[in-house]
Amino acid sequence: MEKPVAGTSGGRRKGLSKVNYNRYGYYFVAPFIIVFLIFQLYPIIFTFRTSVSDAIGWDKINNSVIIGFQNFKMYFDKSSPLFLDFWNSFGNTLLIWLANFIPQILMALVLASWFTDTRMRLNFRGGFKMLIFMPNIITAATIAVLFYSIFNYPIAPANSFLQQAGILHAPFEFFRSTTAARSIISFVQWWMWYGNTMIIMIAGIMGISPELYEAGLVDGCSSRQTFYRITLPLIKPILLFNLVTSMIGGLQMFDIPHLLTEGNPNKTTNTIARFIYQQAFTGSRNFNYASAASVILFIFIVMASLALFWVMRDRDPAARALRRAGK
Amino acid sequence: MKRTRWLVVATLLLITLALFFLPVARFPEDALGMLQGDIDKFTRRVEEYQATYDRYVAQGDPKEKLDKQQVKIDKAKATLNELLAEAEELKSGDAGGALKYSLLPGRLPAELQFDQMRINESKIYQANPEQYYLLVYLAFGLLAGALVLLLLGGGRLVSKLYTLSSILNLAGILVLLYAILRLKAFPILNPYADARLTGLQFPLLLLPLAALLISASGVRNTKRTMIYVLCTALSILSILPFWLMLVNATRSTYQIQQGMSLLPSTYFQSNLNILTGKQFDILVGFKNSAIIAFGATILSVYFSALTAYGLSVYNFKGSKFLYSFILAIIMIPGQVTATGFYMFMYRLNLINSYVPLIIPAIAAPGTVFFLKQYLSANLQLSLVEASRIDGAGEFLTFNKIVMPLMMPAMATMGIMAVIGSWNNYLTPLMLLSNPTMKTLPMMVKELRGDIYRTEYGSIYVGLSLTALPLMVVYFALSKYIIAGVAVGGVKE
Repeated sequence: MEKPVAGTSGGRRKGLSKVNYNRYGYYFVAPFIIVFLIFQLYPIIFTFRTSVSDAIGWDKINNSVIIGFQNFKMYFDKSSPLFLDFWNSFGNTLLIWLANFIPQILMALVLASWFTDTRMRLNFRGGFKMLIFMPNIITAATIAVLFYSIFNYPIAPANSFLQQAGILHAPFEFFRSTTAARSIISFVQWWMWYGNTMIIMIAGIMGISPELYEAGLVDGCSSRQTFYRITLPLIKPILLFNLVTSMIGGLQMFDIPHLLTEGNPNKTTNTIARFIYQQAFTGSRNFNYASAASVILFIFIVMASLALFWVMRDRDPAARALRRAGK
Repeated sequence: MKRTRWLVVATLLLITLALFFLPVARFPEDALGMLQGDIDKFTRRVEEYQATYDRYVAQGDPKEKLDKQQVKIDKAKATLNELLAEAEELKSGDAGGALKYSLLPGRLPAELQFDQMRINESKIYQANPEQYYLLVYLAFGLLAGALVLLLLGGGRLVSKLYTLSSILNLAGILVLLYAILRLKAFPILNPYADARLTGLQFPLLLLPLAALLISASGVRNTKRTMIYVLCTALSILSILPFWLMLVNATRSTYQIQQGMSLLPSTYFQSNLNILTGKQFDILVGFKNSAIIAFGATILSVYFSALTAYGLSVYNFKGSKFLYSFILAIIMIPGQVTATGFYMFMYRLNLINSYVPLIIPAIAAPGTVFFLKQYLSANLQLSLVEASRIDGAGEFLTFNKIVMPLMMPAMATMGIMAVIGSWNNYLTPLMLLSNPTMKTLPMMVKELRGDIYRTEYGSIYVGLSLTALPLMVVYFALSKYIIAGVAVGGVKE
């Protein structure tokens, strides 16, 4: 909090430069602030405002009136037409996210610990990393349509392969089965993102001071002990960060479900982002209901992130000390 | 390998081999299934008659007509009840019994016959029991081989035999898994039903898997080999869908209908012609995406560098607060505010314009954060002061002296920004409705539509054309991209 006093701190920045030049800082950050206010902050405020207004249809975009919290009743009153739709999409989103996130983080951790294990000294690490990460770079829309083409019915590579191999004797309609459709979406999400998580984990592990590992080696730690006693406690903040960003991303999942299954069969793969999209950009353009759903989602994300930070906070002073030592 | 570990692995493999001789599947006699067809038919008939009766009542038809209909209903109901009673009897009595099947030395029971109709329905499928028996023997042989090699290895601490044994074990598990899946798929003719797998399938697969994991984690060389195998498998998994896409782009519709192949064919040109013949103008999409992606990236990187420089060189009032604020807004969920963003753009009359896709990129908190980190590690303030003494203005100093210094970091962030913007789907989807302004990801959606229903090859051509540029860029720049992802994640 304390402000640096001229002459005593910042030896390099003293004298003529400090007094004369600091006002230039405002010019340098001004474009960022202006654009942020207009294109990010104002839309958030506008979404909150629309959620308590009567903006249905094009005409109301320019002259909507605030009507209070009636729009939110749509999602908390069991008899309303949107209640089931919304909460089902919410459940689907959480389910699909969990089904891809848990295997994703486990796989990433295991791979990262192997790739950074100094005693294992694997070859071709760079090549493996490059290939495993690749799906993350390709347009999600392309991947969604690609998997749609691969799992299509009746003629598509997946069905052809299963029939040629003698595992199926008739083509299977993957996108008519709830379990199969959800599994395919979860799989695609896992497949796209575990490489990304792995790279982040590797970077995190590489950031741990090698002295700690050397100390472990001297004390005769096994690979497993090294992982559980040194690596895991020290990359906990990165795990947490990853958990939160993945959750924020996962709750907004749109491209893959939208282009792969279109929410089918029977809306069991509909996600919240798709629900909001359908409310706001199809049919009668219920901007107010979409905004109300967005606000609920926004609040949920903020609460969940805070809860995660709180749950994963350091309770163990020894771990905290170890981490400080590691820096 | 430690003695106890060695014993455990050997025992697990031995039990697995013994399990081959226990019944893994049953073929129940499916009299019930045949009855079910009749039951369904009569249930439907009763419902139909009832509906007609209700209609008559509603219409106020004469009593005779109603009585007649009532008789019909009663008759159908009586038959249905008879059938249901029969089914109940079958269920409780476990009548008919089932044929049991064990993998070894088993042959499918002679009573079983393949349902040729179901085989003919799909021309690809063949039920070949002889081939199947070979497969089972192969699985047994591989697992037995694994056991023998393990025994030969003895209690020695390290031995190549262990690695070989693990490889055989893994191959055995895979072949066995395939054999069990395939067993379930034999189309059996009535009165017997298709195979119902017993609970035995789980120990049959899990015990050798446990043996594999235990033995692999015990010997470092074996573990290394198994990691290589796994990583290779994962790498193949990453490539396979794209490979299928590229291969199918060169195959004709007829060839694709005939089954899957991993070898390319020669129909790329004709597929491409079909695609372009359907108004799929990939070049327009390419141009649009490029304008947006490069426009947004240049603005994003330049202004982020400007902001980062402003934050790290000048000590103005609120600079510390602004930096914490930028860290906080990295996490803001973007798509959540899409509705508000859209409505605001509508008010500004910026629908069907690239402005809302390009200009907001100026405020990229993640990039600012990364560039600020880079500057605090790499920029000597004396350099800035020297430039001031030489009489350069502040912006000239930034453009001529500091920016070249930041180039590596700006390039990394630039690549990430191009890819992010190029892949963005939802925002352009909301804002652009003019077909000539569509971006590449939006055009991909068309490939899912009805006009390509039977033109399988051209769908894959379209997909390949959208994916290939990215793949080329990725393979050329993967080092920087992976570095960019790594620094993006380690923020704490």
